[in-house]
Amino acid sequence: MKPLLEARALTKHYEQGTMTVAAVEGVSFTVSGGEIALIIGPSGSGKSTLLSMLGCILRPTSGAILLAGHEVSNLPDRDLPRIRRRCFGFVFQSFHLFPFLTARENVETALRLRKISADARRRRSADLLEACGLEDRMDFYPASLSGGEKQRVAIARALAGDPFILLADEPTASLDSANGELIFEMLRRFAKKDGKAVVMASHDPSARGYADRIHAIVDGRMTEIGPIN
Amino acid sequence: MIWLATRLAFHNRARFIVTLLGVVFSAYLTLTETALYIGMMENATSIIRHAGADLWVASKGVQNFDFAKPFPDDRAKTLQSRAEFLWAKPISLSWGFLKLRDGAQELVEIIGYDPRAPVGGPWEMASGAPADVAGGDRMIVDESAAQRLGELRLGSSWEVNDRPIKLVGLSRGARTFTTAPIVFTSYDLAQEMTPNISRRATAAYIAIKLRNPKDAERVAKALRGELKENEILTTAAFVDRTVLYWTVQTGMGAAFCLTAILGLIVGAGTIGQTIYANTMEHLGEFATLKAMGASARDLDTIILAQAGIDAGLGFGFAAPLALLSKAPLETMGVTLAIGPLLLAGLFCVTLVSALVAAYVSIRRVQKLDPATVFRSQ
Ligand SMILES: Nc1ncnc2c1ncn2[C@@H]1O[C@H](COP(=O)(O)OP(=O)(O)OP(=O)(O)O)[C@@H](O)[C@H]1O
Ligand SMILES: [Mg+2]
Repeated sequence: MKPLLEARALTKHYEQGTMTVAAVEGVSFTVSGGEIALIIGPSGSGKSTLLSMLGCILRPTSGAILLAGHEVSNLPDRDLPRIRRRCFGFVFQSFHLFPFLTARENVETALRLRKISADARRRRSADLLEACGLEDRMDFYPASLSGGEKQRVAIARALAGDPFILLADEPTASLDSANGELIFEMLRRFAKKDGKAVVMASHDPSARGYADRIHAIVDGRMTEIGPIN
Repeated sequence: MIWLATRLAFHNRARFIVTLLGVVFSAYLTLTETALYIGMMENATSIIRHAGADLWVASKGVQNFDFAKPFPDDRAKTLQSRAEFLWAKPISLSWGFLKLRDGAQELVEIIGYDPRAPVGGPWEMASGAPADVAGGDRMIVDESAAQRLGELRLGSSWEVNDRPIKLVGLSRGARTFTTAPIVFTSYDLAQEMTPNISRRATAAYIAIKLRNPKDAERVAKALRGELKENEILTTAAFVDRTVLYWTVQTGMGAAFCLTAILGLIVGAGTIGQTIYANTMEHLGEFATLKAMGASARDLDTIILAQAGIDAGLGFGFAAPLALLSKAPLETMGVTLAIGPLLLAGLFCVTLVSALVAAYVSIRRVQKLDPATVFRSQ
C-alpha cells in the first residue's frame, strides 16, 4: 500500500548562538492508512521536533515530506495552514486547550476552522465527546477538567476535522494506566475503523501493545525500526 | 472566527470593563467636542444660511457675519431694479442694550430687515410672523434667548437702547457665534435705534435673491466690477469665510480639534493596549490555532474583530450618552449638533483608529512560530 505520509532524510538543525543543535538527523520513515506508528526515545531525542515537521508546522533544514506521494515540504508558507487543516489532527504534548472555551467549544473550534455548518458542528462535537466518555463534561472549562479529561478533549478536538493522519505527542503523559489504555484504544479505533494513520510519540510502555511499528530515536537519529509482530 | 474574538474579548471581564469605560469616555469626548464645534459653526452661520439670499453685498474685507462695517444703503435701491434679481434688500446689523426685568442690561444683536420681503428676516417662527415687525416699535426675539432674557411673552414690552419696544413674535433657530440674543426689527426701526454719525441710512449687507440661483457665481463676478467698494460673496463663500474666521483667527478650531483628536488617540490607545495584552496573554492559544491550520485571515479576523467589538460597544454607549446630554446642554445655551452624519462619520473614524491600533498585535501573531505548541508550556 502506498504510504499516506513519508519522510525522506529529514533533518532539523537549530542554531543556538554559536552552537548548532542537531535535533533530528536524516530520519526516513513512512506510515500507511490503518497503521499506528510509535516513536520512542529519551527526552530531548527529537520526537516532538520530528512530529512538528511531519505535520508541516516546522520547516525541515533538509529532507522531504510527502503526503500521499506528493511533496509538501517545498510548498510556500502560505499553503501550509490549508494542508494542516485538510490532512492533520494534532494532539500536543501539553493539551493546549483553549482555556476560555468549554470542552465542546474547544472541539468546535477545529470545525469552525474548516467552515463546517453550525448544525454539523453541534452534532459532531457531541458525538466525539460522547465517544470519549465526556458527555457530562461538555460545558466544562478546561480549568475544571482532570488531566485525563483534558487529554480526551484534546483528542476529540484533533479528530473533529476528520483528518487522514493523527499526530499525537505523548497523548498519555500524566495519565494513569487505565486512562492511558482508554486513549490508546480510541487511537486504535480511529486507525483501524477508518483506515487513517496515527503517528505518536510516547514514553508509555503500554503504548507498545497498540503500535504496528516502533521507531526508536536517539540524539535525532532513528536507530531501530521494528515491526512488533 | 468572530465568535472566537468575542470569547477572547469577554474572557477577562475586568479588563473588558476597564477598556469599555476608557473607550466610552474618549468616544464621548470626541463626539461632544466635534458636535460642540459644529454647533458653534452652525450658530455662527445660521442667518447667512437661512436668510434666503443667494448673494451678499458686504463691506470690503468682511470676515464674518457678526462683525460688519456699515455702508450707505442707496446701492440697494439701484440693485433692486435689475431683472435677474428677485429681491435685493438691505439688512442692518447693530448692537444694542436690552433692559431686563431686574434692570440689568443685556447686549443684543439687532438685525433690521424689510418686513415685506422674504429675505433677511427670521425663517422659522415659534409664534407670530416675520411681517409682524412692520410699522412701529416692534421686535421678534429668538426663543433661545429666553434663557438669557427671562420669559418672552408675546405682547410684552421691553426697552432696547432706552426705547420701548413690543415683542410681537418668537423666531426659532436664529443664533450667532457670539451667543448674544438676536432681535429682529424692521429695517427702519433699526436705523432709528442705532446712533449714526452720517445722516444717511446704512446697511451691513445687501441680501440678494436671484431669479436663477445657478447664476450666483456669474452675477457675483459682474457685481464685483460694478461695486468696487464692496465685497460680493455667494452664500456658500460667506459661510466658508465665517467658519474660517472663527476656526482659525480665534484659535478655537485648533483647540477643539486638539481635544477631539486627543479623545480619538486615548480611545485607540486603550483598545490597542487591551488587545495587545490579550494577545500576549493568549500567545499559546494563537500558536495552537496556527498549528491547527488557522489561516492568516482567520487570525487577523480574531484580532480585528476584538478591536471592532471594543470600538463598537464603546461608541454604542457613548453616542446615546452624548444624545442625552444634548438637551441639558441646550438649556445652558450650548448647542450640540449631533446628526446621523456626524455619528456615522465619527463611528467610522473610531473604528478605523481601533483597527490601526490592533496592528501591533496582528504583527505579533503573524511572527508567532506555531512549532512552539510541540514544546511544553
Ligand atoms: N526552538 C529550539 N531551539 C533550539 N533547540 C531546540 C528547539 N526546539 C528543540 N530544541 C532542541 O532539540 C532537541 C530535541 O527536542 P524535542 O523537543 O524534539 O525532544 P523530545 O524528544 O520531544 O523531548 P521530550 O521527550 O522531552 O518531549 C532538544 O535537545 C532541544 O533542546
Ligand atoms: Mg517532546
